[in-house]
Amino acid sequence: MARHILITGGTGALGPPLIARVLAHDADTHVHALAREAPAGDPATHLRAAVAESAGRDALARLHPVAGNVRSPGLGIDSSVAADLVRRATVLLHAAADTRFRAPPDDQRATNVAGTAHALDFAARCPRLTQFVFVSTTCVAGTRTGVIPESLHDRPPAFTNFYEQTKWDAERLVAARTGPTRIVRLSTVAGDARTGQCRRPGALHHSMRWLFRGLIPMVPAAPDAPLDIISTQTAVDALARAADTPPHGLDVCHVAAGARAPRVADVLDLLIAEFAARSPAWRRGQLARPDLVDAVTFDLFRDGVRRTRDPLLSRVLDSVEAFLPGLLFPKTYDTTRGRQLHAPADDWQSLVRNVFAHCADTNWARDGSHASAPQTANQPEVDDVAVGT
Amino acid sequence: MNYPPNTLHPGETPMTSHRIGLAGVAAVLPPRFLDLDALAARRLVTSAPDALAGFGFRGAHVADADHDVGWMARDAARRALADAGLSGPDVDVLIWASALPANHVRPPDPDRAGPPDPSAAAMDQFRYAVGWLQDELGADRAEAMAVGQQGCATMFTAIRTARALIAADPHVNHVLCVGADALPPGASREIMYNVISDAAAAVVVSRDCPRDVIVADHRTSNGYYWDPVARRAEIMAAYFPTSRAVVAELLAKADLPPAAVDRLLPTGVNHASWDVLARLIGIDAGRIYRGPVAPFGHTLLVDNFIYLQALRRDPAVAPGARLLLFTYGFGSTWAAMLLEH
Repeated sequence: MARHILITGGTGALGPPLIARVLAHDADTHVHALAREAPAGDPATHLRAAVAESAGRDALARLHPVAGNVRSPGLGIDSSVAADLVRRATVLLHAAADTRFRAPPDDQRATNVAGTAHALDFAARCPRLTQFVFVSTTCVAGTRTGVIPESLHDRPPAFTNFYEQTKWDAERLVAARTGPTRIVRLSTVAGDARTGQCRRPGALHHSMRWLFRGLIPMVPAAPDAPLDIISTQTAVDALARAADTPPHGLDVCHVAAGARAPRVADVLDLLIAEFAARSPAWRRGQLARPDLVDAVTFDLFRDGVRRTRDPLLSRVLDSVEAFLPGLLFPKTYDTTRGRQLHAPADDWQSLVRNVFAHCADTNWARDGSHASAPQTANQPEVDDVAVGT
Repeated sequence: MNYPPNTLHPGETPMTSHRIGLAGVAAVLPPRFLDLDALAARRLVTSAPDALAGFGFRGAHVADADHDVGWMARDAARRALADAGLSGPDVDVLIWASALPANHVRPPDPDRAGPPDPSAAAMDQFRYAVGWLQDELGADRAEAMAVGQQGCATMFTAIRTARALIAADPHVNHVLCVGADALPPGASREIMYNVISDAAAAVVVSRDCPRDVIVADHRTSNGYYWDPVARRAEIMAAYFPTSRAVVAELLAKADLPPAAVDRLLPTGVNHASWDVLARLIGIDAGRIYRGPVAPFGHTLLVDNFIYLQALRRDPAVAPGARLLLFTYGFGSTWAAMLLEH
């Protein structure tokens, strides 16, 4: 019997590879991808083009873009279209989110919390639904430390940014649902394991950029803090598998490197070696490795930069201060259940190398397009940063 | 000529075996002071006065026709010699230090007598300040030289050169280092969020010195940052990790942990930055020495020596205390020295 998966966030960072993965896996699966209006161009066209790259043109017949918006009740879907979808949907995979750490709080709440409520309401209308899959984030652990279990968390002492809080709030809504429900918490998705491509550079990628430029003098991080990153393939494989296998009741899992996550210091060492291969300044030791510092030191430094209002350093801080301080709270994610959804853990060294190489080759452009000549740390920077995803 | 045998005790180097230290220290600021509002009214600062006040600045000392570079240098030199119990003829080497190239040369003489000299414009470039000062001080036995191109670290380099000369040449016992800078009239008084004062300092570096002995010094120069305008943000970013590394190397040379530092003598730059640096180095911020010294802004060369002059008169700092002096100069050079008080 054909499966009909309604996916929100189909045009997001993970959307196209996820859709492609789902379509490629099973010839009887149809994907209905919610696509909100874009400022330019037909989102359906963009989505088809992006999916065709990975899934092949034959699979496109089973891809059905659906105009809508998670911020709107009923997911903003036209009533006649919605009626048909309600009748067919067997899985609702809710991946839409505003992942920009510095987005206005109202925007984040509207997408991440209200949007989740709208997705749940829609799911409740679907008589054939076998499960609801919610794409969450390991960051809901906030400032907790130690081993983070694959279960619902009490509210943590604090969150590093408002995005984390909205996802925690959304999990609460999802957990209240009756029926088979999965909460899949993804760690930081760095990019494609093989090509390093990331559709939308995020805080991790911008941090790499500023590090390469020699503009991050210190990283707030506990001495042995892990940096948990996964590849696009791991994230997509896990979500596709999750959609395939309805749980009994509520299931919470981490798709993360977990105990195999590298230390921040080791990632820095590897990155600096990669920097040196591209940059005479790094190769000659002219640029300094950033120090790992505690919260007080970083706060003093940050306050000093903010007071100078230096435009470039302020911009650097804008890129990283909602992300890096999370490293002050070392934690390891339990991945006992999540590991069952995907292939063995990523080779983090290869992943970091490929992601950095791709970012550098494309000058940190969105969608991985080659925007300009490759960057080295000796060249003036083109002012093209779009912060967040 | 008989040279003394090379008798080093275990753990000593030629630099440390002669107890080379700072026998005399003096710092001079011109009397004219413009507060932040006055500087802003004259468009001599870019940032808002309250922002600069937040960094710890209150205004700038500004040279004038009666209190120019020469006046400041000569006054500081005489005071330092007096502090060391010496006079001009005792000086074996005179080293002039300026961060700004223009301050290495005396201004043309407006009252020059005699017929016009077509070569005067070229020859005026050789009116070296160090020669003039040698003449003013009566330092007639001295070899006269200068150091430069290390920005605010230039005075540290003068002292390092003095130390090396004394260690290398048994005939050199007293080296007078004089650092002086004044910004050109009308120049902006704000450089990278620091309010700049004109000033001079002089240090007599002597063999067998009873106090403020140089235990170790260390510096690094990095030509990547040679253009401070183009690399402004990069310099601000590099400042902290490089500073930490230089101080770590200094302490390693002295075989001492950070906790052994009793006082950290800062420069006058952004006060909060010293709290950050102290934490990076591993020194309690309470050991940063600031007074009793009236706010003076940031001078190009002499901040640390303004504080050192005050500290030498401060009974609260006991003999034997370890003093860490640190500075950064455009070019760029990060420099540190450790003294035993």
